[in-house]
Amino acid sequence: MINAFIAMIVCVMSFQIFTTTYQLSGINKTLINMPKSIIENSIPLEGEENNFIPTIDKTLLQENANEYFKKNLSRYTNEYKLQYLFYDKDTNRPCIIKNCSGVRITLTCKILQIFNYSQTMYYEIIKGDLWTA
Amino acid sequence: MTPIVKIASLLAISFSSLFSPIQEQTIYVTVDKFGPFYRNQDVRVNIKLESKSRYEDLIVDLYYNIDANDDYFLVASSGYIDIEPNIATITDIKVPTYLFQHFNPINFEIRVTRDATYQFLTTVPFRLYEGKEYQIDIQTLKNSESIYNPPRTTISILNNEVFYRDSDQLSFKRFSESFVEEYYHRLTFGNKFFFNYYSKANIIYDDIFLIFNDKENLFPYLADDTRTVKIRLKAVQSGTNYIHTLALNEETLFVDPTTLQMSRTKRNNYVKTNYFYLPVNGKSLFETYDLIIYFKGLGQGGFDYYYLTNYMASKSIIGNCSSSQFCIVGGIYD
Repeated sequence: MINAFIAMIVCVMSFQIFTTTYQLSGINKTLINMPKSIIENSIPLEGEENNFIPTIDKTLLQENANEYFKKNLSRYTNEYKLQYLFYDKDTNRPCIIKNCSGVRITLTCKILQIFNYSQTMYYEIIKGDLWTA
Repeated sequence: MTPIVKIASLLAISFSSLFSPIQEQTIYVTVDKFGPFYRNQDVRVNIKLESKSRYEDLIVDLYYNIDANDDYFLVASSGYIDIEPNIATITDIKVPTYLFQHFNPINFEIRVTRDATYQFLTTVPFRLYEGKEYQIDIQTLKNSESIYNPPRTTISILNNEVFYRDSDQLSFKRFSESFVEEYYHRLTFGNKFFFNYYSKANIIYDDIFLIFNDKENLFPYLADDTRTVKIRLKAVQSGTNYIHTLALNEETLFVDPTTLQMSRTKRNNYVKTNYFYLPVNGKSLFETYDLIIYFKGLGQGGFDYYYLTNYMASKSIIGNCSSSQFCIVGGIYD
């Protein structure tokens, strides 16, 4: 009787651990594996200057990223929070203009309403390896 | 001067006027443009007559000469013309372009005759060459000659003086072999297609285009029904007077900032631009296109020149770090 009870508890705990692991890894994978095309599609490539320097459009990126997370996180959780911090990659200072060269995306949520999950990814536009001034 | 000398000089003048022929005043003939004309082309030219004297019943005839015996034949004639002193009078005359079937060039004379006396008042000889509709391959000129003298086909007659408008020359030695860009983003013309145009006048042309067949449907809002895209260009001076290059000359162009799709009309999210962008992810396809740079009616002769080329770029504007001008890097922020 006791054995059955213990077995049942072990089963339930295993299932909980599995669910937690699945949810945690899924959320983590969704954030870490966010395709770079989300960032690339947020870069307006039109510019009237002779030497074109691409930058990230804040509004576009937030729209694209929100859409991505909404679509891909729904199977793991519906309650999460996204924070965007745009910055200038050369000075590392917050960028207050419309277009910036770097962004940090922070995803915060609760796992099983108990554990806190928070992870930040950063993305920057840099010159390619073959760049010559 | 003593009175006797004065009287003697007056008598001499009056006697000389009795015996010397009457000096006719000059009639100036002007033809603004005389060619290029093509075989069997139906064309009339305006001939302007001016003089300080008054004339009545003048006739303007066009003669041509076919042999060395100076036998001239009448081929065209105006109606009767009266001209007032210092007032230009314009008449028109048909050019016998059918004669190019037999002669090239044709020796002509414009003769202004006073009908009553059959006296030639003014004769203006000139030679007219047949204007052939040339389409000249610039690649041939690039390889063979340093200075190209277009065929002589156009003259103008100004106040009885004949000007042969063949004085312009071209050189395409520095015309780029290919349309090479550092990275795939937008088309830039200024530092590539140099050509020299030598003439006393400014460069003249009807149009310049970059033409290609959009076989892969990269430009759905620019191509016509035959999938042909024509981008209007212009010639601009570069440095000295005779060195020219090309530049975009489209009036209104719009582009989608993220896809770089071009359009001539405003669409949703499109912005106005002065550049011609190439659509993202289309590099490998656009490099298979045959591009034609087409000069329509270039120079005094008004010939068409064309240049077949292709596009090459060593990298994209954004993508993999090893093959792009810019790339995205990222990771976990600690």
